[in-house]
Amino acid sequence: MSDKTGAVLVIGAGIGGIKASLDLAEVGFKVYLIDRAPAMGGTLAQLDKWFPDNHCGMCKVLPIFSRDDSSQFCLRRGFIHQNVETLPLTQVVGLEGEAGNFRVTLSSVPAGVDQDLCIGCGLCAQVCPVEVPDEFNEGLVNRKAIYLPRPTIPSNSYTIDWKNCTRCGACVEKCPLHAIDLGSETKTTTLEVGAIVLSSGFEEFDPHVAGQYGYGRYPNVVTSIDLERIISPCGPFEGQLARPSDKAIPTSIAFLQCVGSREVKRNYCSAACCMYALKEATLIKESNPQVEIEIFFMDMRTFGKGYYRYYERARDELGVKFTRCRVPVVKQDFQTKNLILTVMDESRNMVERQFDMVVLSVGQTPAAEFSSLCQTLGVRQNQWGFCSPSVSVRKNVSVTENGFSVAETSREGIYVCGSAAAPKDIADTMIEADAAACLVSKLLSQERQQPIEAVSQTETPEMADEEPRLAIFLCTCGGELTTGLDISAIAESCRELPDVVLVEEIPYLCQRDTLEKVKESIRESNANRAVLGVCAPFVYRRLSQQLAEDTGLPSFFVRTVNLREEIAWVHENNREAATEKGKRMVRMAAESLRWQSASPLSSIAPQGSTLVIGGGLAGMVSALALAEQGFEVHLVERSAELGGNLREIFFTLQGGDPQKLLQELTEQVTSNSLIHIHKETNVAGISGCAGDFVANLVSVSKGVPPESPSTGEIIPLNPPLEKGDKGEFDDEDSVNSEGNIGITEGENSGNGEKGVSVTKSVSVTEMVSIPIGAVIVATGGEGSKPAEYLYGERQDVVTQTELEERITSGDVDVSKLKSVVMIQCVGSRNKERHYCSRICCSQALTNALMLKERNPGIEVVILYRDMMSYGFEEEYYTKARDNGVTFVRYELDRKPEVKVEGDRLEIEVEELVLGGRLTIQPDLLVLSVAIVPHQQPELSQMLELPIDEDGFFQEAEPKFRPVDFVKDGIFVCGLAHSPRNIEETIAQARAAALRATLILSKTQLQSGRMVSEVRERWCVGCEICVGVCPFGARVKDENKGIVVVREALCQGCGACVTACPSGAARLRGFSDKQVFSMLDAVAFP
Amino acid sequence: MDNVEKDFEPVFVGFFCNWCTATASDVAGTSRMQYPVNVRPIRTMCSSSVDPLYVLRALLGGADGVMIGGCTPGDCHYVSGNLKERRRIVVLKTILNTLDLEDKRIWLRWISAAEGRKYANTMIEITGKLKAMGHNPIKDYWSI
Repeated sequence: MSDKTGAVLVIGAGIGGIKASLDLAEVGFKVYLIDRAPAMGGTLAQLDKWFPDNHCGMCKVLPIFSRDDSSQFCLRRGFIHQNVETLPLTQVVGLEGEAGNFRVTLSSVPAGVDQDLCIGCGLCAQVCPVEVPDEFNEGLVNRKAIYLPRPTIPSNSYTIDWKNCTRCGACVEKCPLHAIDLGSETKTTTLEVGAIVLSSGFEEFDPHVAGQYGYGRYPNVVTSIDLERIISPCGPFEGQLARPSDKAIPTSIAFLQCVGSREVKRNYCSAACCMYALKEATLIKESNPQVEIEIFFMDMRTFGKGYYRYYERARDELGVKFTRCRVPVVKQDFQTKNLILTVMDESRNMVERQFDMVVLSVGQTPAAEFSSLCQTLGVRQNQWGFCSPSVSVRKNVSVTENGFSVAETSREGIYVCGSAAAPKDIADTMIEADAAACLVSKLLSQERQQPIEAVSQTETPEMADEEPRLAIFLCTCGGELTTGLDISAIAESCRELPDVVLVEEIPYLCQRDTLEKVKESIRESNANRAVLGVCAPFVYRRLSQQLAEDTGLPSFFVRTVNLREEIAWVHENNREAATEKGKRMVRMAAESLRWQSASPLSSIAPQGSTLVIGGGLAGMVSALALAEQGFEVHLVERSAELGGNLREIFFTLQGGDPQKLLQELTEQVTSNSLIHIHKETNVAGISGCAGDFVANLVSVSKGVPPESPSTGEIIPLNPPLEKGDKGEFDDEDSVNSEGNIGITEGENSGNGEKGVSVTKSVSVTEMVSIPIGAVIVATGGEGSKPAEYLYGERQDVVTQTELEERITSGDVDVSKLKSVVMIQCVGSRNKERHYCSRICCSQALTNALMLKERNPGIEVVILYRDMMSYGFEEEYYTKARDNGVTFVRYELDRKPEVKVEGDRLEIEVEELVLGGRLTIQPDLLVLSVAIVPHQQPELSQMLELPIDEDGFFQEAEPKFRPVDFVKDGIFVCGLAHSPRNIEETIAQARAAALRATLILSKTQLQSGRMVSEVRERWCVGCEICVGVCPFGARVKDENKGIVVVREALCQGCGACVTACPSGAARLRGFSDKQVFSMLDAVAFP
Repeated sequence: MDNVEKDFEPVFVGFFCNWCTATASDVAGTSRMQYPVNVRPIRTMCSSSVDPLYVLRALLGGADGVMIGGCTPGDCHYVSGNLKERRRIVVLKTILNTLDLEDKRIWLRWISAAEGRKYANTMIEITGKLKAMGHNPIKDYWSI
């Protein structure tokens, strides 16, 4: 044991902070999640849907194993995890100590309303005389000085806005629970933590500063976030598109890009605005196709996975217009409130255009207090104020002293993710959040705790046999409910229900002292199940869970009925009918509970090692990240060398040294005793499920044909073996001195009970079966070989990578070159490949700057379509232009022509800005080629992993589960996922390693309580349910001839239950018997 | 009969997905949007756990209608449960039609967690339609 503290402070409860907190909590750390705002969610809470799939999907962040420990509902309603303590309205004011042992001083502004007492009735806001613009709705509507920070979310309590509060005291008198204290003072607390994650996000650029757009003066000029609230279904306009001046549906909307980005004062690209403008345009076009939308842009930066297709759809299918022009000024027609834009038309004349509404795509800037926070934490910022780990700002601190650092700051033990580091979108934030969490987990690996089993193990089979004895408690909410409902009548009707031993009306069921009384009543009446008639906040704050734990009842034996938000508040002035509905709903809950069976939890003991497929950068980084946390790794590489593409990269934009990185990584990986390297080896088969896979590896060099995949044949059966029995081995066994694999078949016999079939035909030195807990797919990709521009026909036509190699090897002497032309998007963003290869623009900039540096007199021309110099790369784009690199844009349908004139190359391209054709005769033509994935049909088939339209692996969810597959236990990173640069690959590899850690760090992977089960005698083994289950939780047990459930993997959706033709599948907690009795309670007298 | 039908208050069962429609009902509740009292909600983990049998049972048992609320396509917490449910309901409706039973008393709607207004409007719409249809005749065919 070391003397570090196994607790983590996460600063900022936006999506990055939530992701990092959840995953760190699941790995086994205590997490304090603070935010200076009164509510969670950050910027994301204001948005409804995201690109590139126009969905929400935030709930997919929730943990999969032991899922009953955290919230199981829409994450926007609140989020609870037993290992996470959330502290709103809190800021860091002091920091002492060092990595592993920090002492943080926090300052919490009081909410002014006791969060435990507040029932959210809203009487205080009714009497509050102060009205101010509501920030959450971007000032489109007003709120009071005592308000709900997220107006539509029930789990929020009221909070006082101290800046605007006049302290008149009206609310204090009105509050039925005396929860308001205007005299409460700022509280200072200290925490001991081992590490800190900085995820404080960004602030939207304030367009008041850019006066030329008239924001604030012209009502119909709005920002992109204003528009998000306008079109949000729970926003002030309830999802109806309307312009602020007259609430009319606009007929035309102009989006102005790069407001607050890519300018002298903020010479960086905000990376997300092109995509969110496209998203907003798409959403509007889908709901109001008649609206004309035009986007005025400089470059459409659609560089992420699936983004270019999204752009194509908006342009080609939905008819969004795109005009390449930075609009200098916006004027208003004072009669109509329409906006007049001066823009350049197709024939390059300046013309005036009129729009009903103008949307400013505002960029990301560091928050106002961010500088002081960074000072308190002692971390450096870059010139734009972000806490960037990039080397251009700080040259001395980085991961491996090679110039690459990901998620690290200038202070050890403090990590950064999301827009606090650099402007970025949600997908990249999520990856970086896990990369930061991975570094925390590595630093504190000795302090990792097994998560406390919050779910009480009190359920016993005997409980199922016990006669149900129901206690029913109905909250009157101090009269709040009795106005709309006759609670006494409901109580009366409950007394007549079968198995009910106690019915009580309680004034405030949520209050601490009454909850104690309720617990006492349950004990006294000897009730073994309870129905609570309560409100939505009660449900979302999980008070029923608490009550269950305290009374020793299994949590499934406590049911809630929402009498307030589902009845009293929505059926006002209809007391009789509302009471009838209340009676029925309580009765339905009681019926469901009567037939609820006790359900013991089951679990899988996960294997402790990981298989990493692919020994390139991604594979090596993830292997190392796992080994450094103390987990055994098998790193499989099909070639004879580690390193993959990294071996061919020599220069980077920010100055990191890829060869040094390669050398260091290779050294660390080879010298780490926990990493077993299998070179020239293929994966012949993998079977099993998360936590309990078996991989068959076969050596390629010996010429042994790979075994046919044995998917489906191998089923780990319950009960799982003890960890020690699974044929674990040490390094000596696994890799002998020749580097061959030396597991003998004899050792595999330990797996015999699990039904593992080991192929007998292959000799023992070449075939090996390894039990593993998780798989990381890092199979990589490569630059494509173009079939155009005379590539392969002439020595002076090369790819960017070949240029780097030739310069490094001395084949090309830069000082002798006079002119070099680079062509971008060779094979990318065309009819064949509908994606951007993301790294080629920065690679071209890198090489152009490198050429200019080595030979200032050289002429470098870059022929491009959109320069994808996102984030801080923008600066290098500017620098290249300043250094004399010429950028000439071309269109996809007017590509440059490359021909041979005499002995020389000649390139002709249409100059779109000035008009006319440009002819260049360069010494060298450099092609920026598309990145293509290594095709992995066998692997994909073996593991049932989906492949996307472009041949990359398809992750579970593009935003919220970017390195996971739907089938748990398998993770993806690097070029196998999508094109990305070195730092992004490192981030993703670490994220994948952390996701694997979630499995490896647990002694037991616990199932949820609501899982499906098989009634063995009814099952005919038809396997229909197997195909229906997206999670691989159902498998055929060939010995028994029936299907069995891997309960830990089951998510409880119930799709199998409905699919089962013989009624053998059953969902615990939602059985046929329960549903039928509930339905009977609906209509029967 | 006509008089009875005039004051007719239908009762319908709502199977609402925990991740979307059930949450939308909370949004409607928090915003105090008013809608008819006729729904009897049942929270399910996913729309795909609503067996067509449950729908039939509700109709046979005396409910005047059944609504299933799921996530918008692509949004399902369990990947594609909502689409599975859509197929099942199509099949169920086809079978009901073949048997000359009413299939118009069954609704499958996608209501996302944010759409409190859509939830309230759907309740208004279904209640209105059921009032116009009158009481569920299927239960008359049975004497339980």
